[in-house]
Amino acid sequence: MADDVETTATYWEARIKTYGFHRVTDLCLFKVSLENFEVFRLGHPLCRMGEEGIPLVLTFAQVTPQGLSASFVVPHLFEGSVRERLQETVDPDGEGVALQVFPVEVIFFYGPHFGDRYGIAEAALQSLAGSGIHPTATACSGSCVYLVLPEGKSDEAVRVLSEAFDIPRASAQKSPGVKQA
Amino acid sequence: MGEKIPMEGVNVSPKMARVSLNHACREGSLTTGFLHPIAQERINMNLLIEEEGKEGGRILCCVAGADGTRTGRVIDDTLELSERAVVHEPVGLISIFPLRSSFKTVGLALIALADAHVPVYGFCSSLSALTFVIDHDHLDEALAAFEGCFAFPGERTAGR
Repeated sequence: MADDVETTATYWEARIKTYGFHRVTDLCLFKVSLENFEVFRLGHPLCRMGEEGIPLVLTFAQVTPQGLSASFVVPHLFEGSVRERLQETVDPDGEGVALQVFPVEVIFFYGPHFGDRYGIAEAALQSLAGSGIHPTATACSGSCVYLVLPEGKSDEAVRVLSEAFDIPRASAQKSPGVKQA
Repeated sequence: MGEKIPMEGVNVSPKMARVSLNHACREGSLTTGFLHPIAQERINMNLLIEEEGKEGGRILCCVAGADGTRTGRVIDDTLELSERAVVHEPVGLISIFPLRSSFKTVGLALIALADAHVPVYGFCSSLSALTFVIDHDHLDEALAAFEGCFAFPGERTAGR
């Protein structure tokens, strides 16, 4: 018998379970492109927005060949304030090259062992693609999957996802401003 | 520096591999071209950021260091992707757990990392965590920088 036998256990389901799909509408996605030397400047306007009580629904960022592409999803109600704060930092001339804004909706969901399993984001995106729905962005860390969708698409997306995933009957408590499928 | 913002905790990861990928095709091709073979290889992504834009798609994902080579092989086998994908090792993830999601937490964290000269390759918020992708060798500096502006309770979880 081999000395180096290793047994690996993996949690697996034929149909992936979730605790339901949470849908948030009336949102704006701000995409900020920063060159390397500008990245350090981003922290200050973010702190200021936090102190002003502007809520943050989701943020994600990744390096680009030029620097960093950072995204912030906020309630539509705060679009003007966020635009003003970010423009002061990344687009002071108002050329709009470094700052883009899109009306979006967000779906997020989580489930058992989502943090240490493979294939969950793929299953979600595959089922959406099959119905012609293409998220603007997908962000997953820890055990939660976030899908950023163009405005008006989240309702249909929840319907499609509900067919692909298994949702327990008992629904969790709703959070304020968040609709649950 | 004002009063430290209380956190529920902090976590640092073991060595990981960071995969950056740019793709000219749009509308779902990244799913079939990258995510599907990764899932078939049973590779778990601890962090995934995927964006679609005018120029095409862009992905940042982090996998366990032990899966870095296998992930690279999957990318190489997917010829369409191989020209635009890069695997970087080793990186680390540092996650802080705020009591609630806030712009201020993100801002303070970015300022702290910048002041400590720690390059940031990506970040992502979640229900309870805010995770930063940095060089694995910089995790200690990042932790020290965060301890300057955030208050962490008790012992921290170290995965290294």
